[in-house]
Amino acid sequence: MSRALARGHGPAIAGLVVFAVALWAQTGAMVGVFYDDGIYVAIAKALAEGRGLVSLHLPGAPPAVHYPPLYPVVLAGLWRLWPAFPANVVLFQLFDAAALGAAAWIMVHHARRTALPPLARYLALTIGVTAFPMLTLVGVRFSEPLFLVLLAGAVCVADGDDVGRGKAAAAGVLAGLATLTRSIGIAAIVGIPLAFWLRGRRRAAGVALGVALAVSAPWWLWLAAHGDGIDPLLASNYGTYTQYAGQAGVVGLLAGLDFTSLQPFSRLLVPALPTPIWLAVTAMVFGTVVVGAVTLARRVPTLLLVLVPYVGMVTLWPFTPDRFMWILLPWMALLATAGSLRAWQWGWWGRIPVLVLTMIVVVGFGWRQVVSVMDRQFAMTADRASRPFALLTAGIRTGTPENAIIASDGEAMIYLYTGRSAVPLFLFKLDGRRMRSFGADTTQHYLCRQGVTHVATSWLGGDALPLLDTLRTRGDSVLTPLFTVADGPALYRFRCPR
Amino acid sequence: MTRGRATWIAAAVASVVYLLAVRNGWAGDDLVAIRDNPATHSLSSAIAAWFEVYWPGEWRWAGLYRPFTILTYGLDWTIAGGAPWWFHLVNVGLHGAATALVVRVALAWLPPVGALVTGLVFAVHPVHVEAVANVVGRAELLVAVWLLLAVLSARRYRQAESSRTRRWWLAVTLVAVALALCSKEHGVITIAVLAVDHLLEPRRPRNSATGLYVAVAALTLAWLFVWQSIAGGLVGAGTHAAFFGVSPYGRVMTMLPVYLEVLRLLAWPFALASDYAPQVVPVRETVTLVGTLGFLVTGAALALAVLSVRRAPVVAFGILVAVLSYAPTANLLVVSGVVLAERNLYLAVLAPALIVGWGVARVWDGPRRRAVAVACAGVVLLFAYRTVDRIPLWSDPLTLLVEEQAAHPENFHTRVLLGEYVAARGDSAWALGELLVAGALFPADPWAAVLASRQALAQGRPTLALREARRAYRRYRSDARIVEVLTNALIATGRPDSALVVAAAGARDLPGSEMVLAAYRRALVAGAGAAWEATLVDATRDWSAGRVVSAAARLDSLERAPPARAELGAACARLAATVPVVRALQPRLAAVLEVGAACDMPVNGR
Repeated sequence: MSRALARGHGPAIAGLVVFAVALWAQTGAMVGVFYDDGIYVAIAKALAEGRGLVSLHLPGAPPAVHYPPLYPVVLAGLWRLWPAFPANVVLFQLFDAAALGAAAWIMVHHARRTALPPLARYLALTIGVTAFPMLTLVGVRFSEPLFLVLLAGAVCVADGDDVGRGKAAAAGVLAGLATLTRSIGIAAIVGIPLAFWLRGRRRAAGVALGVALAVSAPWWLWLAAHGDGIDPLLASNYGTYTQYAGQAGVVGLLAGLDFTSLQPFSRLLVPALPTPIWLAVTAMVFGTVVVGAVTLARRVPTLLLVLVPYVGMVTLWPFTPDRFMWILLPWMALLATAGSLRAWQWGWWGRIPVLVLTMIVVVGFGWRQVVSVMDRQFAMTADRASRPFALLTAGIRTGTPENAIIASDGEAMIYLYTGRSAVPLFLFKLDGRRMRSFGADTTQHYLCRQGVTHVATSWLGGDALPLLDTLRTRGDSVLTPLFTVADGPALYRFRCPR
Repeated sequence: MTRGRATWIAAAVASVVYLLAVRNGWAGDDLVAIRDNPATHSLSSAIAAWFEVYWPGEWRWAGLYRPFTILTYGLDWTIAGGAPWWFHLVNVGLHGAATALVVRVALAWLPPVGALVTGLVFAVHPVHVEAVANVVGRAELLVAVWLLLAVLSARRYRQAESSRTRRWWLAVTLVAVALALCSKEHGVITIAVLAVDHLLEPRRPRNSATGLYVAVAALTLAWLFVWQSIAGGLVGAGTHAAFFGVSPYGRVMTMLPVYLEVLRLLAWPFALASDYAPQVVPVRETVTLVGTLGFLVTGAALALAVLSVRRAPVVAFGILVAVLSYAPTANLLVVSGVVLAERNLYLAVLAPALIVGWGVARVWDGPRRRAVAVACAGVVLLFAYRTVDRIPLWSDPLTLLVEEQAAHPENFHTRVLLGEYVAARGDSAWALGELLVAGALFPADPWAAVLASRQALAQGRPTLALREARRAYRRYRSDARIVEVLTNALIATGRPDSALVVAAAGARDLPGSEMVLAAYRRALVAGAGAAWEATLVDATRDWSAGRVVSAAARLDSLERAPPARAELGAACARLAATVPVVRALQPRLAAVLEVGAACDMPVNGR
């Protein structure tokens, strides 16, 4: 093994290990339990069947303008290879695992530039890529693994030596493709040319920027043409990001500067602590990361110039799922390792915080990682959420007509597993950084307008509960129960009042 | 003798010896896997079935995943319109190709004459008859061809002079490995065979092969993942009856004598069998003399492999490949669907073939060349005679079963297959006879008793049906087929109350089984059970089949017409099977709550 590492096969071996772990992390959870995953696959189905880039599950199949197209395009290719859902999900799982393995390969290869000790960089990146939140991510049909491999590829090419026009163009293509996978790939379109510029390679900067914009241009044109094609009541779920940001307003965006977006990292180390201690841990973690970034600034400038706008955008964005940050775990682990090694050289002033942080990592994260891996806890949320949906979709398949239109809390999943058109049951808009329901009257009106025939919920609780309670208690029998399972899903016949 | 001539002579002999197989029709598993399998009846249906399990229709439970093999059947069917002679001809051609590749692999260590002898022994070895003369044996031929091709291309990769050539041979190796994996599960050993060849190859490699191993490992992992998703869940169901209810220790004790038999088959392949089920191979769950001997001889073979790594690497290669190729069906770590099958020894024949080839090469230049040549010719002719003599056994299903039964009357499994075969042709008396004998030969197998019980009922012999069903039930209760036949037999012999108890216990032990719930319903009707009980069973069946709305509606109707209190006492025990559904779907179902209270069952608990 050591010979292989020395000869240059280390990154490939690391990629293979991550690929194996990612395959092992796959679950039998239904597609759509985390909402976005269902929508990606529903769009992929539309593409595979030649229906275009549309949200096929919604009545009227409006254009898809929220989720960039590259991941659904890849899934659509696999779907055409094996057009039997849900059996073909195994191919999607295989692709995601391969993408994560490839990302690890590239990141480890790129990390050679850091000149950190091989063991340190291998450990940091491999642990970062296989940390339990990453295992949760790769076990669900999210675009993160594909995004990560493209982003890592772009960074690796751009940080390389002897960057001519060809390599600049390659970096631009990869950055553009990353943006076509997740909109936040813009961070690469900003960071990569900037890195070239600061290194005095202005022509390369221009080439990379031009190519990245050209590659991502079809998506921007699509948004310009179809951005208004979404029902305003669905703008929060299905509208463009500008519509979404517009709802939040400037105040909503700036409110993110309280750095709650950094929570996913520090909560990963210590899940439950009083705020002052949590703040101290956060400061220590990010202090180390910053020290590491400064240490490596000359060696991997592109990486840092991509990470900064990425973290900035996530911080300001009004709705930031933890997974937006989790995919940075490998690089954060690398930077923290670099920072720790640097601080260690400062004598006791540096060594004490490093020892404390190491203890926190070992006790806080290490223990949870071991337990999570041993009990497959990283997959539990998806598996548990699948159970009521399995019953619900079975009930819908056999208990409703094929032309039924279902309002549900997992509309894409309902469509994928039952073939029935579906709309979201909980309609909301952003008020600052908070979600506010449109209320029972507006929702009922929307359901009637969409021709909804049934209402289905995976459990009688959550955001939709007040709405359901209101509709159920209305005197004109808006909802007639077909079945309700104790602590489980429920299916109602929906009738518009005259 | 040149390298090319050695290759062509061996391949030609391999093909000529098996030409008689072209006269064979469908036999054994050919019927289910090819003749009656719609997936193999055209190229397009074979492509459409690429992600389907190997066994079709009602045999799906047997699992496996061999899409490339199915694809070749689809191609054959398209070319020849389903005529079996073409399928056999392709098998013969593949055997010739595999033999040629064996010679090419052997040439790394042996001079052409030694490689030729290796190829000839491989070509005519009688153990190959099952793999070559029976169409479904193609999976073995394909995996051997692709695996040997992978070995040769990996050698080219290691010796390549430019990175471009290296990339080319890497691609060829990966394609060969992928096709080996998609031909049969044994393809999973390819990476290990490549490593063995790498270690033993006399030439010093020009390039590091780590990249190749990483790529092959990734491919193998990906295939294992897809295989697990498609066929993995069915693996346990395909366990051979000999291991049914046998502990891992007992399984190893049973297999140790089998390893001795494997070595005997490789060295002296004149006594052959198409099926090594009990009592051809008895189940021995304790240490036996023959088992100890098997352990010692197997250990000695492995020791020989280790000792010959330096002195005779070709011998080590042969033995290690034989061990690797036999390992997936050795029933040591995992249980397979066979105790021993000659077709699974296709690659293992490399061991005797390479040992003979090595021996001949050592003495060929000495004074006894003529004697050695005569001895070799004698062995090859003897093997060829036995092979040609054995080929017609696989001409049709009845010949195979009847001749095998005559050769091995102690084989219970042949009798079960014969019983099923004649039952399908309407002769249930003959079928019943065979199945009863099968049960007597190997009482541990519950499935012969299940089939016998069904045939006895079909013959109007309910008492016999009940005896056989009880025998199966005593052996194993947690199977829907056993619960069903016992329920039917009890009803047929006028014991509806006992039938109800059995069916209710089955419904409790096997929640969600349509077959058991149908039996439960029949028992209720036969015993004039209350209508509300039937409604509960129907609701449970609906629920199990995902018809949740129907299940809820049935329970709603029950709520409107609750059972009379006088009926409750006798129904308490039987209700347990329906409680989970009632609890989940209708927590406030008054009538059942009342039953639950009377029976002291927590049906209203959350």
